Amino acid sequence: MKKEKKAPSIWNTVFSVLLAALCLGLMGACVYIYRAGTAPGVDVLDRQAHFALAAKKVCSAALPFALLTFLCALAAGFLGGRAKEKRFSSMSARTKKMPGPEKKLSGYAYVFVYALALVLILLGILNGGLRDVLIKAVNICTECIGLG
Amino acid sequence: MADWFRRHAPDKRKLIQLYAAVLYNAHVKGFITGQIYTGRLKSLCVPGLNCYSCPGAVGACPLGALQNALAASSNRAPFYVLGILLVYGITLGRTVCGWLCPAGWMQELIYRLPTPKTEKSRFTRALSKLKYFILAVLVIALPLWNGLKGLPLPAFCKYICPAGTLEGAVALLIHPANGDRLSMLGLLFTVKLIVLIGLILFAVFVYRAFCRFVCPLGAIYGLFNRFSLLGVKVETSKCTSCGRCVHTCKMDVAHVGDRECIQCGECVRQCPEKAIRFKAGKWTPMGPEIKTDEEQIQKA
Repeated sequence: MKKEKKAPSIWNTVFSVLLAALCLGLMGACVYIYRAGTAPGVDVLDRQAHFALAAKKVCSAALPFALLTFLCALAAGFLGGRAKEKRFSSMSARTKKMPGPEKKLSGYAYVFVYALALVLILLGILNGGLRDVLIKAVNICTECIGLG
Repeated sequence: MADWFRRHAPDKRKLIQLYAAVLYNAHVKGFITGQIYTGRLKSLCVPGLNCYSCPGAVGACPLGALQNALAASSNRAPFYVLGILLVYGITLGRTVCGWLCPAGWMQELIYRLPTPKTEKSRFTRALSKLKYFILAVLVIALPLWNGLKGLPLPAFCKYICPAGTLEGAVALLIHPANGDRLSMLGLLFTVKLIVLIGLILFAVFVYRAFCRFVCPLGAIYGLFNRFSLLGVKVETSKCTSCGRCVHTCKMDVAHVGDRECIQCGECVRQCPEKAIRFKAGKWTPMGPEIKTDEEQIQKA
């Protein structure tokens, strides 16, 4: 496989910058949302409403930026050149053999893991975990399906 | 016509995915009456992502069960769900994603629409780490934290899960018997619907976008992928590190069988050295096609 050195496309560079900015922005947004709900004077029962309001503000502010990042992502995907060739050359330079999943557990380890799983399941049945799963599953979870 | 059907016949994996989707939602009466199944079988978690509020669901969703179990941690430890996930993980790993998950199957069907497709890149490889963040925050941390304060919150199910919106909400609300629930539609449903539509649109252009970037269940199974009993294995004695398996794989794998590999077996067909097999312990359910001498002469 020929190792063709290509200059990074402008789209890939713009992407990387936007993605880094988006990640930093998301971290800041998480802190902002957390502080909105846990500010002094906010009642415990009202926290979710404050979280939701802060999340709504963050989403409306971040949506154009996220959209721009996504469009750059598409542009880089179509126009930014293929990273596949680089992966070929770096992989073949690094290893002579494909690092296959040779790190398997021994047979005894599998027995131990299955025994552990069985013990966990039995403990779960005994402490009522099975019943909890059943109770939750046989009732419509309106929260889970978006009905609040 | 027969030739067309022969050329477009689904392969074994597609059929198994179809059977799994049908089996998970075998409560046909639920679709007719608009009521969910309430039998004891629902205490068993199915391996793949399938909302237990779907009228046809006969088992529990492992992700929903995990979040609710963590939310109830102040009362009891979530042994049962952890044990079930351990069994599925160590036995199947992400074979669940490639063969037994209805959500993955639907995405693959949507991806077949003839549109331009995005290629995997460094961006998609980086974005594939997002699902671990979602697992850590929305599936584990938030339910646990809120549950310990007495406010159960299945955060992933509530804010993101598209299976709940499609299989639960839409499947229930389109039935006339559930007309009274329409008044419960609000901002939360709107947000979840936007997420669902966005993921469906993504799936048209990006192979398995939800599985690659969002699904925390895939993140959990991915942690077991290297050690699972069932999955694609590389015979390093035959491997020449040509990289064709990674090149042709549509997932963001760095090598065969890593955390991103859904064990679909496509690399088994692609490997020129026949070094990859789909193995279950010492049994090989799917290996490279080895043509006989006559077939090779005929092909030449």
